Amino acid sequence: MENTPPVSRFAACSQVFRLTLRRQFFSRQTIVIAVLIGLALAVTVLLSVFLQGERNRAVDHLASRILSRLFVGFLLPIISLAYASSAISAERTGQTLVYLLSTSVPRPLIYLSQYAAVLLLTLGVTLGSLASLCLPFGADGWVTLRVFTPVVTLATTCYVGLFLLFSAWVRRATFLALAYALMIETLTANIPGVVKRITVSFYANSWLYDDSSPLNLNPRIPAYDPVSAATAQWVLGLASIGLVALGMWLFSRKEYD
Amino acid sequence: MSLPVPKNETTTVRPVWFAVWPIARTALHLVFRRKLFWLLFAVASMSFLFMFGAIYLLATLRQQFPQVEKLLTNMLKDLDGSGTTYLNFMLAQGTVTMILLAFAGSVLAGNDHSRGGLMFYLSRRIGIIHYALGKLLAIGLLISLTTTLPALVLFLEYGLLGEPGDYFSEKYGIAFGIVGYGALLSVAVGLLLLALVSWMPRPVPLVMLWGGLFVFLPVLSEILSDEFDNSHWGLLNFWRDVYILGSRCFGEVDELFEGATGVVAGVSVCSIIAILFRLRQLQHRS
Amino acid sequence: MTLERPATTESSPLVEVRNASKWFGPLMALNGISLEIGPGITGLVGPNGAGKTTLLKLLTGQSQASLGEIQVCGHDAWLAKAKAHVGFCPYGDATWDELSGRRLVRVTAGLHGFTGAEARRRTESVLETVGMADRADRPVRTYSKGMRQRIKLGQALVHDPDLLVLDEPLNGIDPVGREGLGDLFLRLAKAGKAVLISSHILNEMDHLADHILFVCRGKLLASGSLETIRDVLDDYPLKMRISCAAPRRVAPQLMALESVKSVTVQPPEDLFLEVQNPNRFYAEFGEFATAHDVDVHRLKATDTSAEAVFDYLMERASRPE
Repeated sequence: MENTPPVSRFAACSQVFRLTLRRQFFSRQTIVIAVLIGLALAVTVLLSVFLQGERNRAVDHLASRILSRLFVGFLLPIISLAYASSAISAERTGQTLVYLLSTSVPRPLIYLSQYAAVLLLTLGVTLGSLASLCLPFGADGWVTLRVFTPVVTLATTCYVGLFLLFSAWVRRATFLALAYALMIETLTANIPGVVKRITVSFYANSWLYDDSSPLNLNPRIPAYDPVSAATAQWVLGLASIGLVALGMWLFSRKEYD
Repeated sequence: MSLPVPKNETTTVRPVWFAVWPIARTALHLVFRRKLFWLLFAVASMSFLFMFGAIYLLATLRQQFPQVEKLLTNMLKDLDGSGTTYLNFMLAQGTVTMILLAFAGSVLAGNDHSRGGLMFYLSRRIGIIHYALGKLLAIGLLISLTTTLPALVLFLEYGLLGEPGDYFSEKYGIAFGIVGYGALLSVAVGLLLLALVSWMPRPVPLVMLWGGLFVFLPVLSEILSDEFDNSHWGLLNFWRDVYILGSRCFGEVDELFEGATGVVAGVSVCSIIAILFRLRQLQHRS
Repeated sequence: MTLERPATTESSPLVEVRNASKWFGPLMALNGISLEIGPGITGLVGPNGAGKTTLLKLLTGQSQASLGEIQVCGHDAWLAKAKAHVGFCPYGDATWDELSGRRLVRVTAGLHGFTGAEARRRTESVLETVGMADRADRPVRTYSKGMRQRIKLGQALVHDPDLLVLDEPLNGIDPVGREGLGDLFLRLAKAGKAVLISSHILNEMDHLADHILFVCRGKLLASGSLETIRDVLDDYPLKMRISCAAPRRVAPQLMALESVKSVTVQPPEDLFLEVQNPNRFYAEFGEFATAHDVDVHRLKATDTSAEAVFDYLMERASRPE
């Protein structure tokens, strides 16, 4: 065997990427996600048929109820949680993380490759399901899809960054992520004042509530006090970068058992 | 190697049903050892502490400013010390109890299924029924820890801060209502959790299914109820169904009572079948 | 993979551990360990909780030393550069079970940066080396313990590391499997690799290891070849068994040698001796046998096995200072 074999760091990272993508996609969580999206789709189709003659009501229902409450409020965080929170912690509990950490890929790059894989998969699922929920409403669905796509993209990026950070941090990241998604995100959303500004959903919703949006969505509580779409975009973007950087730093220093 | 028992000594062996308690105790011990449990429990206790403080504040105001009692009672209808106070408190504990149970289910039963711990139990004198009952007891006690027990403490607080004799003698039925609703929650939710954990022991799919049942379906049921103007869609919300049955323990009857009974009974029977089928399957496999 | 001794052998050690300590909260898992590992098989031996796994984790860059320095091929063991020289076969059965054996090794080759034809060539070569080429298309979850161990070894070897770290590789393997793996380790060592084997099975170390590290309570009790360590244990007389004709006649004459502490006769032909200074004894005994015309059938030290040496070391370590 040669003394100086041709090795490529990019190839090694791309192997981490492919392995993560494969292990996350061919998992039980994909089946459960399919069931949940299937249910949501069934209800959407039912509503689209029921509201066929009432265009304005149909758009309002799609945007404010199905997409805002059901999709952004539950499906988006739970899909991100399913893939991101298990990416590192499942390797850890399955005692296979050691194989990744024994390779010559620097730890920050392992983390970054995993993030890229989980993000791609999660974006594929969230945007795919968003499109499938909008399409039954025809042209109005397209308008709604165009408004929601950038919001969902950036919110997914942020959620994946956060839940992957949990995954690198604690062994039972899934439960921590669930507690965050269902308690912090939900509870603080209804609290007046600035506490809610620590959540991803606040910025995602603020973006949707912006005056420039053609959907005319409004907060459900009067004292919601949303920020502008531009601010929301900046915060979500910077938070995503910050969370990934923090995760890379943590993963590169932490000793896993 | 055998350790013969001397002929003149007799060993007393307790009936096998007594094994249920050690199984539950071990399961609880496993859960209590985790830091995350205490974090979630602290979150679950926040609502209790808030209620506890509010009842105390209300009692103080009533004593110091009797003239505003009517105003206070009108403002804080949920804290009037009636059955609704405790019923609503137990309903409000739903989200955090659900998260706590998802975690506990994975620890106290999920690991047995995914890592072969079931063999450890079944190699003793106990059977799958005893194992399932032990785990159910543990889940029931955890549910009681976040719902029944704090509700009973609030009931005691309410009585002791007012006229204890009058309150307890007039409203002793509330205590039975709390215990009844708590028992119903423990059995119905415990069976459902154990059934899900038996088939889905890994934490991520379990959390997603559990979240689907207790967050996704309620939102869906709300949308469908509003849209089709039919309250029966509300039966998709399982925690609400148990609440409707539980409110009967406090003497209140909901219009969906029969439907809720059907859903809870159906889910419980299906859960029992699923648990027994799965445990038997695992027993044969091992 | 070809297992041939490289043309040039490095004289400097592959692994240098200098004064390494590791704490886990208040628990001191390793206490100021210094050692060097070079090519050949090195056995890492110690009771449960001795710090073996912690040491392996430090060497493979899974953990960082709280104090001290660990260098692999001149690089800090924590860094990726060092890991390129290390192949690690961890304890236990865990692998990516859903993959086939071939796929698993191929993925590991990819994780080390090999692509395309080179990755395939290495995969096939390593599968051949570990004797799994014909069974590598089955999913790993269907493998027996021995097959798993071989595939794990394959993934550790795929990037042709200089140092191979094996945590309890013989645990749970049947005798035939052990022999096969033992032969493989010997071939790897002959090819110039440093093979570090952590094991509870001390008898295996007798046959395999050229060099043994005895660890207990986080400290390195001794390191070196078994013979060297045994020689250093001069407060424990070496036990010898001599088989010869007329042992009753030879016994009192042997007692006259300065290096012999005691002699026990066990008819028909055995003598059991306790010897104070082995080197001196061998010299004296040679002369003695010639001078007295002793017909020696067998001469063997009975307590130089890893197990016996380990017992002495443990006993010595437990003595109050």
